[in-house]
Amino acid sequence: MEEDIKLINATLKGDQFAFQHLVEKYQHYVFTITYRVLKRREEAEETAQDVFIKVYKTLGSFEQRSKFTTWLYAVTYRTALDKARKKNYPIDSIDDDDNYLQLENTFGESPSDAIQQEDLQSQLERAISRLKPVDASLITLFYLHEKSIKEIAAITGLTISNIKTKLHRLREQLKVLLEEQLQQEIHDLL
Amino acid sequence: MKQIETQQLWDFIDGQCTAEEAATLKSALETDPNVKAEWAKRFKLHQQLSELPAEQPSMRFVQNLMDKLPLLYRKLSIAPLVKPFWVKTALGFLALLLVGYIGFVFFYIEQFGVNGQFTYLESMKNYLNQAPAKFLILFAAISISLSCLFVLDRFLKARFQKESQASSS
Repeated sequence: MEEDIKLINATLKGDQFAFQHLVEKYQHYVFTITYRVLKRREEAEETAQDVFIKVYKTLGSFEQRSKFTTWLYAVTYRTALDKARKKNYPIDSIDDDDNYLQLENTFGESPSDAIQQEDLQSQLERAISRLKPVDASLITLFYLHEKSIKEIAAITGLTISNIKTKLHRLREQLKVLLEEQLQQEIHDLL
Repeated sequence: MKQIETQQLWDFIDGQCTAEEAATLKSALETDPNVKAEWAKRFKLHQQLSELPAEQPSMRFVQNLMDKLPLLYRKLSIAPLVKPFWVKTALGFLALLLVGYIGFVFFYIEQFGVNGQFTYLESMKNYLNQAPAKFLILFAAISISLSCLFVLDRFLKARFQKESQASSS
């Protein structure tokens, strides 16, 4: 946090290397969010660059009342969703239609056959890549940088209870999809 | 399991439940193998989600971004360091000083200079001859500096506008 503030102040004084440090530090997180929202590497990278340019242009307006990462991820979230809207990608979330299980079953006739061929992490990545943008960004924010639900509310503008419900349903959905694989891997916990 | 129970399990895993709820769940985990199995699946999923690596952008991501910044940076630095209000105030003050100075000279000549022997112009020359050299040099230096700064400001603004037009097109 203090390091971020130092880098921001140095950037505002015209030190471009300080900004480069900020980019190097957060590029993976920003790119992961844009990639999971947009699903395409080139678009995600372009959007991540747009995010950092926006941040650079508006750094003076960051009031340092919240964490820099909260502000950065809010810019990332909005920019990625705007891009998804422009490209006409379906961005509605898990609560926005009646279909509870929205994940497409792309694993073939018997999900378990395909699942067994890959490890759980790869399956999880594939499942996340099929989530709708808002849902994918929620899971990413919650797990990747271990953001609290309160911080996620500040980033996304959603209410705390809404986020809790969405996270619960999303994870239940992932659990259902990966049920067999999970069953095989819980022996050490029982 | 009912939805409320799965929500409780997730709250327990996320560390979001109260001490009382946590105690109830711990006791259920110890006594009920079904609850434990359901918890274990969710906990494993939670672990796996936590361990998912971040996506990697291309190797040139930072370089590509930084290459875009110099031009952007110059655009940003156009913003005046001093607010326009203070610039206008300073200019107004200088103008007031100049008017006051000229007024004072004319008042001086009117009072003491023109006595029939000298014309206005000669009186002015006499007055300037009497003025201390240091004061005249200082006045000239300030005037020249301000003029140079004004010309430089106009030149740089024109150049930045030209560059930003070129980059946007």
